[in-house]
Amino acid sequence: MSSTFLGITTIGYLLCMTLCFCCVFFKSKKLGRIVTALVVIVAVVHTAGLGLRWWESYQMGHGRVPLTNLYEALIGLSWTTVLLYLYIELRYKTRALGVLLLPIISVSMAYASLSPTVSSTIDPLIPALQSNWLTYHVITCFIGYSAFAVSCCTAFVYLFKVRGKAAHDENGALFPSLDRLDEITYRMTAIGFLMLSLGIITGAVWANYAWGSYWSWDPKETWSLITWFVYAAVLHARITRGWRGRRMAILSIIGFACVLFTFLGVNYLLSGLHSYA
Amino acid sequence: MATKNFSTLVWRFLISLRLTLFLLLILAAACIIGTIVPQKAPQAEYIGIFGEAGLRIIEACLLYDLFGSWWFQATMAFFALNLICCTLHRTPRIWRVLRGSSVQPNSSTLAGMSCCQTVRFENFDNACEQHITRELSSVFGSPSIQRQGEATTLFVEKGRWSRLGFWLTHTAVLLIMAGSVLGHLGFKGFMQLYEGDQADAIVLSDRSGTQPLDFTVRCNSFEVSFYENTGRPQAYLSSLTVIEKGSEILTKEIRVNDPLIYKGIYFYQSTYGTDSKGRGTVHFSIMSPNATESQRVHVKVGSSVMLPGTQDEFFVDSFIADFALDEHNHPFSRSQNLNNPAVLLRAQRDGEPLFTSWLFARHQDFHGDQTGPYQIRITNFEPSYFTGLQVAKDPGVGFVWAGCAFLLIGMYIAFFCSHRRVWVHCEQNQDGCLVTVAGEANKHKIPFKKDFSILCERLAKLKETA
Repeated sequence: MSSTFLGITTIGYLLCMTLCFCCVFFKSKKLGRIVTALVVIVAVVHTAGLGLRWWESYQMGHGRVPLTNLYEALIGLSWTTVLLYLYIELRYKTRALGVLLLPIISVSMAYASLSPTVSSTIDPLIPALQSNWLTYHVITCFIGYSAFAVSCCTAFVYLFKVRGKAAHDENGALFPSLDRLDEITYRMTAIGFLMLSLGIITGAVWANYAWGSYWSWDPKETWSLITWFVYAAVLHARITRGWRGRRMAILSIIGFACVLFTFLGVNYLLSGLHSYA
Repeated sequence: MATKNFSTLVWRFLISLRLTLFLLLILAAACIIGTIVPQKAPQAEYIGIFGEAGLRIIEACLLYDLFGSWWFQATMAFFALNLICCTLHRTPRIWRVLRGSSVQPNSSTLAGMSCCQTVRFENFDNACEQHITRELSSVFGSPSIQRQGEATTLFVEKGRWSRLGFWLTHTAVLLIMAGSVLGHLGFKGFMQLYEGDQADAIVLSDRSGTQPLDFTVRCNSFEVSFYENTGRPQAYLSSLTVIEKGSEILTKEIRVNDPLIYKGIYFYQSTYGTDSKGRGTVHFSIMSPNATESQRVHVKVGSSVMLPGTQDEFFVDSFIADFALDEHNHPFSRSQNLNNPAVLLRAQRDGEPLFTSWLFARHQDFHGDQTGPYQIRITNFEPSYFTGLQVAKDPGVGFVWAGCAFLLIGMYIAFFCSHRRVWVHCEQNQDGCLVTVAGEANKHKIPFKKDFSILCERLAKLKETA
């Protein structure tokens, strides 16, 4: 049942993405409103899908948060990203950011649903994962990752806009102004940094309860620390040195590359405590 | 003079952001290497991945234990020094701002601020001042009023404490680092306990020896349950009792994610295993003479049971998983697998020996006639489990959590709160009144400017109606 919902969600996001491309290509404001409405509907289906999966796990007698394997992680991450995307639309009155965010969301949903290496079964949890800290840890990390994804997208838009400015400016009107983009990039980086810290800390508290050690230099832990170092450097460059605009955008993109490696690269290329997620 | 210059240079270097950024990137790069090179792996593994030459580099640079290497810890220490210097450098300024300044800026200082606008009121009276106060209150908050001759200054300040954000975040990182250093005063180890057993020392994880405890821990029982179908463990839990100076202090059932804590020492449920020494519970079916149905009893190895309805007591003296006889005809276990399980069963009637016999689960009739009036079969054997406990003492963990809390509060303040100050300076002269509005925010300048222009618009409107 939940897989049907999530399948519809995947198709829905792909449709939203296509419409969003059309919207930017034809510069149609009306289409933009349709895209937003559609994203809201698909997000509701998405939420229902996640909720159902949770309920199904109780039906199977496992009773656990649907955030414990790669399939659920990708779906959960798409979910936090889409919520953040809708928030930004509302807060900054801009629709065009979907051009970059919707593909990320769609690809991660499609990868979760279609990849043969990603198992979608609801497996029971091993004892180490049976803890409320699992929920806090995963959700805070995901909000952080999503915020970094948004900051990376606005950074890309910023760079495109700066390059395109010399040639023609009319395309730019759809996107927020450069100052706005810079501000969103910074704000999202700051939120992401706070949530990443919270995620690392909840992970440490949990590890201390489960294994008796709050930090053990496991590859995932280490990579989250690397990401933390990189964003700490980015934020210091911005706050203390006043780096803005192009340099800030490039740094945000580098930061997000670290996030991607922490989230996916570590699981595929390195092994450790987080091998189950 | 030269020494003073030199120390100034060193100080400038130590407080420079450039150094911070450099160290952050060096630490990040070191961490990347630490995840690519497997940590504390056997030599053969390194040769397999990186070759002989790679192994030489790894050994020369201590990459096999990068995070424990002197150079990584030295870099961390240098980073801490950089943090301490930056914090010390900025603390006096933060302190001054936090204490607040009693002297109000004059009009020329105000003119130099990032947001400043002047409005000239031709007829300025008390009512006018009240209107201005009201507008200022509604946009920025209620002001304090200071009069000096013909001049009146309205002053609003919000979020002065938000200047603490810097101090909190940076102290937090130092606290966490201090906590991790203090952690070296503790220990980490392992303890294996069979049901009913107790111990007062642990084996240290780095295999450097044992660590005595000043109390004893007893495992009362251990249980493990499995998920149906998959056979994966669902939960395992041990009941532990702490005994100190002969008296039981506390008993707790621990499970994964729920440790026992006593005197700052944590006992974590970590693993479990089955007994290799032949301890467990044997299940028998016993057929009495003249009975139509057999009775089922179970006996723990080393204990006994009375057969219900009789005066006969059955003792299980020993259990052997893989029974064999050595050259002296002594029984021993060839392996730990249940290949030829055998039980030494002894029976007494009213305290008088009845029989003693080895019983074999795989060869039930081997000694069929040696068990007196009874026909006895082994139906099942449940081995005893041992519980594997991770034991840790970390005196620095409190510092780490305090640091984490500081960090989160500090970050929230640093990112989402700002220190705003707005002055409205009204100076009467012969042409009326010159009202200077000025303000500044240390962060979030765009929303501040928005609010500031709202205030200026309202004052301009006020001027028209006045």
